[in-house]
Amino acid sequence: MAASPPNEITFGQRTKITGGMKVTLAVLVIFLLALATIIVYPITETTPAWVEPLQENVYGLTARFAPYVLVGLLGATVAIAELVSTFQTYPREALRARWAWILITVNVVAAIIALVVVRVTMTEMNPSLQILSVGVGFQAIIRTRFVLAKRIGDDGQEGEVALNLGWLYDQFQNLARTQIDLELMNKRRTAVTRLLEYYPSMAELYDIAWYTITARATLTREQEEQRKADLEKLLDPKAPENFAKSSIALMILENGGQAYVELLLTQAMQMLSPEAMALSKSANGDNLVREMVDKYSLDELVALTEKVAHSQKVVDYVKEAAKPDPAANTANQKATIAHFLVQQIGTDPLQKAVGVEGRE
Amino acid sequence: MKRFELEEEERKVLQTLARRGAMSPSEVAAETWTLPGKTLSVLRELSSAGFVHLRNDTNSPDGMLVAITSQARVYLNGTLA
Repeated sequence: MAASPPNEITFGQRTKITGGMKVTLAVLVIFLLALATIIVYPITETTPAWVEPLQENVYGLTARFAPYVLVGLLGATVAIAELVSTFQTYPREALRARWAWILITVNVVAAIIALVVVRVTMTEMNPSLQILSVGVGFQAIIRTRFVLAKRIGDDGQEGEVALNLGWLYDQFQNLARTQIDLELMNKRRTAVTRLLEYYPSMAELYDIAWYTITARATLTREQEEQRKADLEKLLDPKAPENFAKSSIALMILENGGQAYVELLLTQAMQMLSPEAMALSKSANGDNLVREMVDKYSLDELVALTEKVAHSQKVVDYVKEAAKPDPAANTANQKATIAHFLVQQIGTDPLQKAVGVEGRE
Repeated sequence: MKRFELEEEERKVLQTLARRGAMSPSEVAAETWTLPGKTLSVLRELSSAGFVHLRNDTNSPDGMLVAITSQARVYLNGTLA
């Protein structure tokens, strides 16, 4: 992992429950409880005289507004369901987008207006039926395309005579979807960039992506295999390295979601803190391998092995690995010896030996 | 996959990759006590047979990355069972 200083994560954060939100929620709950208590409060002979008119007023007011609240809630539910199904990978982030709230508000307001119209024009209609017809029927009608006539034997839409009541809503929904997608695009790019910053090794990214796909509980076996096949395609030598790394990072984001990426970044930041760096053997091991590959020649690595190794087998292997070999280049030979020494000698003793040699 | 008979060294390399995940060829060599030149030859053979992906990786000390394929995992599990 890169040794860059820890930064603050600026995306994918869970929605913070602020003090204001808690107070608002508490007030709402108290208000609803008070409303319910007043409505169901039993009137007896000992009940004060002012309770009964209050109860009647509160009940009347609730009965007047409840239908609007109900159809509004139904409209909001349908809009939320549409958003969540459209942005399946990032539902939480999509719902937090500005245009998501505009879409939900339009649905709520349209449903309330429709109920007002129904109540004004169809006064004889049963109130429950009014709520049901607007709450469910209106939502269906504004999304419907009625085909009035269809050319025989024609499978496409060209030969149809249709009344598309959903056209206007479709246009608005497409606009909202595009705007939300663009808003999320920024966050996705940030997430990918940060992943690449903290996990620059392609091997590490690949392993995380593989694990992420395997760990997903909701994927079918076919979906899992398809995603793993897509991941493997990115290791094709023909794919440019930066493209492959960015695509693997995006795959982690799309399979794990923003919160998962946030967790990965938090872990990476913790690993990169000075305290964790001191304790982390793998990070130290990687750095040590690089240092040895950069600073030592093959002969010097053999000499170092003879100094630090207690086993003749280890020395023999390193001597063999350092011999000129047309099948391997020097970097590969040095990296093999460095990894081998880290495994066989251990990071700490090897680090000390390298440090002493450096001073000498 | 073109071949179905694995030699001992090839099997050792594949088992290491299946256990440890993607790594550099030098790590594979160090892990399996195989010489670097021999490891690269084995990996190239395995790559042409579709058992591993071998590609450049500038972040790796030896400039390469190797990972086992899903097909090889299935094959390895089948032959081990």
